[in-house]
Amino acid sequence: MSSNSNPPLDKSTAQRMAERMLVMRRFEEKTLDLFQRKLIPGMYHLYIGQEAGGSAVLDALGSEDSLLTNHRGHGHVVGRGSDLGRSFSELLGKANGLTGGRGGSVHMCDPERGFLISSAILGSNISLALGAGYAIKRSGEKKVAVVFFGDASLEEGITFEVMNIAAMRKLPVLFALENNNLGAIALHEGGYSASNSVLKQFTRIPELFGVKTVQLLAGDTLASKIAGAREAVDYCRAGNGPVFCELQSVHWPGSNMVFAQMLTGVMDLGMAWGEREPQGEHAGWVRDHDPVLRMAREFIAAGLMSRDELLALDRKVCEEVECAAQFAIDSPLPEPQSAYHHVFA
Amino acid sequence: MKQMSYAAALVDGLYEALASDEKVSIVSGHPVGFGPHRALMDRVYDDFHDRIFDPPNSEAAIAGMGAGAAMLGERPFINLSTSIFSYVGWSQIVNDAPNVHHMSDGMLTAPVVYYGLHGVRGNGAAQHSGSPQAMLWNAPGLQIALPSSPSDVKGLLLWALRSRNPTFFLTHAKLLSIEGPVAEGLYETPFGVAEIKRAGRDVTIIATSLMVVVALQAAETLAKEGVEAEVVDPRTLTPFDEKTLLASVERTGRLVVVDECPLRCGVAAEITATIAEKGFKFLKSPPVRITRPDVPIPFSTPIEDELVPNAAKVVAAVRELLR
Repeated sequence: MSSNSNPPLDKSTAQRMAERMLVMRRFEEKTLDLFQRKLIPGMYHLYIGQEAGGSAVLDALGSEDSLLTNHRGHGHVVGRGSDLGRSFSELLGKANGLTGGRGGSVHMCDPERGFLISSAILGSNISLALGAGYAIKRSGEKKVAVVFFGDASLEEGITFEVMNIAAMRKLPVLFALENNNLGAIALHEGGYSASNSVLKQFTRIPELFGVKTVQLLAGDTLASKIAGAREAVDYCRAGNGPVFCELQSVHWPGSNMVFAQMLTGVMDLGMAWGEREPQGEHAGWVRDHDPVLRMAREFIAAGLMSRDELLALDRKVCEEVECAAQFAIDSPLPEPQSAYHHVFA
Repeated sequence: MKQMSYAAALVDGLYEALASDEKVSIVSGHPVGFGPHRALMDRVYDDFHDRIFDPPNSEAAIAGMGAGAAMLGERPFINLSTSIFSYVGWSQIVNDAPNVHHMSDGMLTAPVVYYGLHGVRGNGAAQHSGSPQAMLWNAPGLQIALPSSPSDVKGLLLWALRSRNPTFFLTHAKLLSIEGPVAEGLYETPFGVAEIKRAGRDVTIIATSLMVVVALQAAETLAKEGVEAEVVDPRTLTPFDEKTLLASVERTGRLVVVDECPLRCGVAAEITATIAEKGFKFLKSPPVRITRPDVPIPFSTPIEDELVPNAAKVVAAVRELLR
């Protein structure tokens, strides 16, 4: 997308986007803190670094749309407006978590906000989204089914089957590929799994099936990303069939290893305007690629938000996140006997 | 009541389901195969062609699609054809659909119906003769139906398509032509209710699907020798009607289980373990399992026949048990 051809953002969109991205970031920073304090059992994956593309797509959706995410889904769930306290409670396995402590980090689900079950099996959530698209098409409603997945899902055969059927039936499915592979360290270099495909241009896959593609490049402005996401959602909603939207981001160094570490430090908005300079090995990622700092710079430059407004918003978000985390810490664990509930409806 | 084939009853059930519920749709429209029964589906295609989708050969995608659509209130009937093709969509069938309700803390359900023909169909060789029900029985949250009669196949299907839970519905190629009385119109046969297909005092034979027919044949032969076998069909494995099975064994004191799955961890293994655990005091002799041995099914008729449970094997086992 070219940043020049897009209409400027309005202030309310900027405000909404800033809040959503700050919530996503502060929630994940707190998640890592809670994990390091040994309050989160099991495995989890952080959304840090992917806030721009995800927020743009979430912003383009309506309240009636269906969403599915994957194992890296905290950002989507809190970005859609799910209760922060109940989201943290779920990560902590508490009884009042979004799914009562049954799903945990990788099965976040909030049907009230359109979030269907999150399958943590690569490709499986994409097939469930195909079903959501099938149901929407049968109902005749003008809704969209969005599924967020990572580049690793393009290594699974089922993804290709799904694209074929979605294209064949013109189903309203928005395939939101979150390509966080730029700059990722692969297994053989001591990192976590990174893309392992001979294809480097992932949009060639949907193109083979005649599926429309939209790319939101890592370096695009938010104004451009929002315009691209709206184009994708509108196309889908109009009944033209599926869209494949690639959301590129530069890999956050903190998730290079299996269990994330805050290698880039807690985000400091002052770095957006040079009040402080990023330090250390990963200063480059913070300076050039941190989507939240980039958002702040873009909105200030465009006159959409001031430094003070951003700082005040960030303080409010931090307080909400802190309060939500404490709510989760103070919440009770599930009763052992409740393990037997909800096997059958 | 009308006399009709098992295949015709299945198609009748599908027709009634489509006619009575707008949310029902079919993915892959030939559940009775491409053989002599194929034409039975013509009236379904004529009246509901816009609700039948004949998909590409993508079992995993359609299995996941069924679960996803069901989460939004659809009632998809996902025909996987030969049920062993379920292995290609295994993750969606055993790890997505049955977990939805539990993982969502009861907020969502995925009441999809997966369908397939199981068992040794005759010269199907190793890859097209399988029975996945024992493996499926190890997936909590998934209902499993194994109808053995025309009446049951229609009634259980209509129940499955109105249930709030996901179901794997298994028929058998060798059952498609059997005839029996079937009620007209809409009726449901509830899951979790075993049926005594033949009453008897001397031995309980528990069987499902085609093995019920085999057990009934064996019971006829045994009756001529003065042995009255009781044939009990659980009809569904999940939910499982232990009560009727245990009551039968309490009356007869002897148990034979006939099953087309391989022996180890098969359906017969679980049924036998349940009766031994909860009805040990009723048993006058050790229970007997008659199953496929743990051998792949070969192509050629004599070596295929060698491995499959049949009436003669059941008769011989009962004679031995009562000796």
